[in-house]
Amino acid sequence: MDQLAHLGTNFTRWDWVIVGAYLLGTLMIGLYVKRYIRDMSDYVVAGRSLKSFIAIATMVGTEMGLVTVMYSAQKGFTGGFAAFHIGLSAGIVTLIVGLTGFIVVPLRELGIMTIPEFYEKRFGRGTRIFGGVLLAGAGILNMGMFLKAGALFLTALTGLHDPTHVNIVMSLLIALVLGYTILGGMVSVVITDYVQFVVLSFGMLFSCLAAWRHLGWANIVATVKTVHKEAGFDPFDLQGFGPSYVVWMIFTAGLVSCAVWQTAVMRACAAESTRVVRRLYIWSSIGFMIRFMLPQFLGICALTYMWQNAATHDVFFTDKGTVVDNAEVTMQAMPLLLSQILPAGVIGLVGAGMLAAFMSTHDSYLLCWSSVLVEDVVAPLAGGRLSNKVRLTLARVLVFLIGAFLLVWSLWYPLGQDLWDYMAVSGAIYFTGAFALLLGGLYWKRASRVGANLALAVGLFAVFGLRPVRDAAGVTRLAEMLECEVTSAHIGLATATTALVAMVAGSLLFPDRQTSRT
Amino acid sequence: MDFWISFWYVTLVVSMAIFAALAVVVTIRGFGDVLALFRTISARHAGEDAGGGDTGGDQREQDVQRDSQ
Repeated sequence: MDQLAHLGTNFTRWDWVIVGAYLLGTLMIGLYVKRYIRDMSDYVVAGRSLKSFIAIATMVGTEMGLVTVMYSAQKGFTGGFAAFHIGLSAGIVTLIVGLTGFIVVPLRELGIMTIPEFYEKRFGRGTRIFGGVLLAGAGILNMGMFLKAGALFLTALTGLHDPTHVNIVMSLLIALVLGYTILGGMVSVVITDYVQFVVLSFGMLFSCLAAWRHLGWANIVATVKTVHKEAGFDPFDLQGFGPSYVVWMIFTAGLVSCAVWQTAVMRACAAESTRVVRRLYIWSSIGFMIRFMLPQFLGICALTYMWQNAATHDVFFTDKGTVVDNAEVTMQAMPLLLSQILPAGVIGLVGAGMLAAFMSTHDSYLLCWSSVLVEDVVAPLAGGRLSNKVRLTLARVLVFLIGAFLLVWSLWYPLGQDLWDYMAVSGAIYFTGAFALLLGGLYWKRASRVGANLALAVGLFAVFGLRPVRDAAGVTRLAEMLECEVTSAHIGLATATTALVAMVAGSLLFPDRQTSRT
Repeated sequence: MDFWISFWYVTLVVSMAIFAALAVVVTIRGFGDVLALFRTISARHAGEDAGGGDTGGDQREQDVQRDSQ
């Protein structure tokens, strides 16, 4: 990576001032809104007082974080224009959810704060605790690479190419986010989400237009043709993504991201009414699509720039002209591009916006998983005898502990695959089972407790989608012996289908007593 | 391949245009919502301090009734 040090960066000391001023501003907001936090409802769902436009800003703000920008840009870099199918799937499915109210409207009507809370209402306390452990475990694992992605972005953008800088930046970032989240809870999250939405929306649009103008459409298309061939445009091409991956994306980037994933459901639960929920999803569908497509386009532009630049060509491409198989390298392509094409001043604003995005996503997720552990695991185990004050303190302690784990995990875990695929698979440990429970619990009267617990347990098999786990378990070697390919998408889809089958079979074979009487 | 190039071009341009419009609207109207959020929470806390208990529950019931109408 020494070659990258010779590239330099447009990031000047004035850009550092802009970033610093932004961080100071957000810290002051956190201190200011602390006065509005009085109980767990204020802390977790902002007192259920979100109106339409702030709900849209906070939904898109959370989901269009720095990590999303990083993994989407990486997908654009490694997959070309064909990666746009992920954003398209997300947008269309979110729109359908908004129009139909599928899953999210019944959940809001129940007035719950977390999905495991629904499990208890429908399947009993045991399922809530089991589901809560799985949800928080998968969720924390899912955000395990957030810190690394954030640090790689900042170091690549600012020209800090020494690997130790990445570790230092990771430590500073987590300290910043922890302090902020512990202070303000959901109300401060809402405010940063709004600010982040404004800065990042315009920053992303500007960056895309700047990259487009700098490189030219015909040039970009020609480079993707050279590097990725047909697979760089056709998502169904087997040399690239292929049909099974597309279906997996419709499920994960589409349905799960907006209707099953806890952070998105929290926004639905925080909405003022079910009418706001529908409007939130209909309008957010554009954001759900754009949050993938714009960074992917930047990734495609980065592919063009790195391919045509002699100093970077050998870092990002093999002798055969293919993209290198190193996730931590390909992730740096987009911020490197921005460091080269954006002018001083603007780059500071974009950097601040991205940092805001990082904080916005991080604080939402930290808040989400700590509240799940408190409300769905500890409180039910304590028999509901925890006071509001104890719950708040416990949530804040857990935020700190999760942050410490994230730092250790980021330093230790070898990524081994595209960041987006890591996140889809780690999340699948929870959402493959959760989807079956939501579908069955909300729309099928005969869904039973046994079926629900079976479906949740089946979801654990999704962990084999992680490449290091797959290699360690011998799945990769077995597939080679059988001369077939087993991808994360295959394992994820198989797990989701099996969870649904387990839900149906378990419910029919072991119906709940109440259900069998009716 | 030409079909996909044209398709992604149109998708990208249209998405960017719609998103730009959305960003402007949400930025302006969202600011009003932020102020309303502070007012709502303050009013609820003031109600609780005055001995009214958790008025949030009443509000939620009203929301459900309004939605069902």
